[in-house]
Amino acid sequence: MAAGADGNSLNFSDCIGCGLCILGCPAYEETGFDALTARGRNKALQHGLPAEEMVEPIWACTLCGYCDAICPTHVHNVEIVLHLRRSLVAQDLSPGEDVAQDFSPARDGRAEAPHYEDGRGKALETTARALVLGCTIRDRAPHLIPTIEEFLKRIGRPAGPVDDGCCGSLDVEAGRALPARLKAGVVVDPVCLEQYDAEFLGTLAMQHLDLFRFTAPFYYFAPHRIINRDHARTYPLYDALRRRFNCDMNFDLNRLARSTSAGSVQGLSGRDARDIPAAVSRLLEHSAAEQIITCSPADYLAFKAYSGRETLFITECLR
Amino acid sequence: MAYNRRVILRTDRASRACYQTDGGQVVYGFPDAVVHPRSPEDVARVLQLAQREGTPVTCRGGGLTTEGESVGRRGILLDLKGMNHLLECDGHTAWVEAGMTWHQVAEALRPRGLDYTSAPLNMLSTVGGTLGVGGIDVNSPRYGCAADQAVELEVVTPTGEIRRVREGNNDGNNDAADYLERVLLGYGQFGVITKARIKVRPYHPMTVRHFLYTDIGIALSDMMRLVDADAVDACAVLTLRDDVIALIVGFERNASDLTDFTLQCLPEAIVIAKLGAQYAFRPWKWRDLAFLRRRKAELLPALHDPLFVRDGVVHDRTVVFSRLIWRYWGGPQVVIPDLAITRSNFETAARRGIEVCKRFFPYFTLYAVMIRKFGNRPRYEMSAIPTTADAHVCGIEFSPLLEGARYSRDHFQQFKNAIYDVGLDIGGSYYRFGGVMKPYIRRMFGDEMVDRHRAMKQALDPAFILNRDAVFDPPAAA
Repeated sequence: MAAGADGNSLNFSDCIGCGLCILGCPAYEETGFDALTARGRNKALQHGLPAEEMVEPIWACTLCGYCDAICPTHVHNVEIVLHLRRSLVAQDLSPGEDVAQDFSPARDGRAEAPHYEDGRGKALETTARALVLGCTIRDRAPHLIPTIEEFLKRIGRPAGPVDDGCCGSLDVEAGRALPARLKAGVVVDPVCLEQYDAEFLGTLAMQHLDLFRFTAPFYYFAPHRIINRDHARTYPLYDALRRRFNCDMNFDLNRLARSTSAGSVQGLSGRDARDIPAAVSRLLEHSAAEQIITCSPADYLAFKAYSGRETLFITECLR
Repeated sequence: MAYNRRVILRTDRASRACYQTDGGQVVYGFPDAVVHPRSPEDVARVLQLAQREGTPVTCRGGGLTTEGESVGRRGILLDLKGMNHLLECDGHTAWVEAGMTWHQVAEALRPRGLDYTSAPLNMLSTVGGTLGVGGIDVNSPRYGCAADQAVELEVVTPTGEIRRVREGNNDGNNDAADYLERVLLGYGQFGVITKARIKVRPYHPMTVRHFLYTDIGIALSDMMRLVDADAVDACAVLTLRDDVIALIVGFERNASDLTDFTLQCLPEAIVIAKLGAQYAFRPWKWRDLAFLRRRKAELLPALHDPLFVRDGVVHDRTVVFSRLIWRYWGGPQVVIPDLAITRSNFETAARRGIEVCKRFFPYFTLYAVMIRKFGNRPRYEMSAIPTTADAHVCGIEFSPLLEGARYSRDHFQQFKNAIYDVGLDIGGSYYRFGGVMKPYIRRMFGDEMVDRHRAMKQALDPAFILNRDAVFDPPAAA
């Protein structure tokens, strides 16, 4: 496994075993198992283990990106996991059927979507200004979609929804497709970010704070994938929110974002593969805020279901 | 993938492979099984079974040993990181599970406006592992090593008995107090620490300043003066080879320019001029100059990262230092021999160590600190705290900066031996004397002391299962 299919180096050999990646790893937080972390996978790969002997560590990853952001030697951990998943899928060693059961209404369309046949999103070539509605928001919180459009109108963003079938992020996570890396305009769901280079709804919101009414004290759950993937650019936006409103957020001492795991294959599978209630509880452990605001549909649902506190989607805070 | 299920023992190769080496990445081994205990009762059951069967048990926390002490070559590897909760905190002490990393401790204390007192700069170390070996912080001149912050422990003995012991009078039970002294700085030989009550203190951000020198002796002398006067909240000496030497000091409340002290430091322009004169007519040495510039460019921005610095004050300095360590010292192989010496030998040890470094590597760094001592506690015997009547002891780490070069294990071993030989010559101790450096233990401490401690180990651990081979010879080899 010297190089990925897209030509990028799978540099697990660069892992020096420092363990910084485990600090915010959701799989590790829940289980305490080194083997399920980036360090664990990289050490196993360095030892020469093939993917088929690492099924559990490979599928345990939620692609939150914490490990990539903190790694002092710049190991591409998310890319390594995606590559290994594709390898497992090729050997029929994926949890695909279980995932499919939970997404059966949408999955048919997803599997048949022509623009994923080559993994390069052919159908989206002309949608550089598209609004991409992620699977989770469409499938799990359809009532939010009009609100998002309203939001986009108010901030003057063009909205050309592409919601006729899954955006493909779940296929990427499940190893059935490659990330497309297309310019897609505004992405609603952070799960989709493995698929597109795009602005994210929550990031846009941070740039237009005056449009919102936030009532302190509140807990703002920042989109961990966005922040961990593009930390230098996005963290200051959320830090500004924190300073302005003195709100609690899901940042750790490294200034990196922690996740609920809800917006991942593990969280969405419904098979209790990730203990999302426990993750929600950990995140809120030191926060007395009674109101939670989130800009990620999956996390919105997670907090709404498990926090016992008032949970708002960011568009519900529009003035 | 039922992660909620409590998994205790794992034997699959993926679970074992991730423990194949430690922070040093020089020693490799493969345990037969990995156990993830969730309670002291789990640990006790494992040790009882292992004691009965004579199965070696290697304890592992952060796995950041450098001499293979936490690498299990066979038997059971006990990964204690799953026991990682803060159980209670009264504002002065915190009762924590020993598998917590110091980062987790800091995360748990910060919402309470608190911080731990003294811990290793590398926050990936666990509480239990640290209390077993020492734990040196930049504030150790004032607070001592991390092991001196523990006032109460829960320990599972090698035969599987769960004991709770604390400092001072254990309701008249002298055995309990003695056992606490054995376990602290005991290198994991006398029991498995499962919980600890550690001192905590209010959290303060830190103002960090540095002063430059070109002579290690002068820098160490200035550091000793600052420590004697308790003039700073934190201090350490860090070098780039012996070309540039920085005395780094930290202030938690009122930052001072230290005008009361006539520090013998040099302005940066003078240091650069001296280096220029030294290298100007030696073009074959310009690579070294490039190295100095590159390292400076890496080091200073990390201390001024706007993520952590506001208004000139470093917030969460432990995170900053911890990440800096891996950027600065980290690599495919980490070799950090050290000397723990008395202050009268501080400069001699540094100068002789530098000569050794130059013989083996083109690039290296020294990290020198002072550690407060609290009298002559029994725990200091046969530990990294050398015997002295002084109020402080001194420590120096000698780290090659490999710069991408690869060296053989023999080369590293010869380097470590040469550093440790300096220690043998001038007297003192070492922080990392276990694992593959075990042969130095008898030479350093003498047969009488080692045999006495080994007898204590034998009495507590009849089958010699716990962290076997890390410090003492097991019975068959004795």
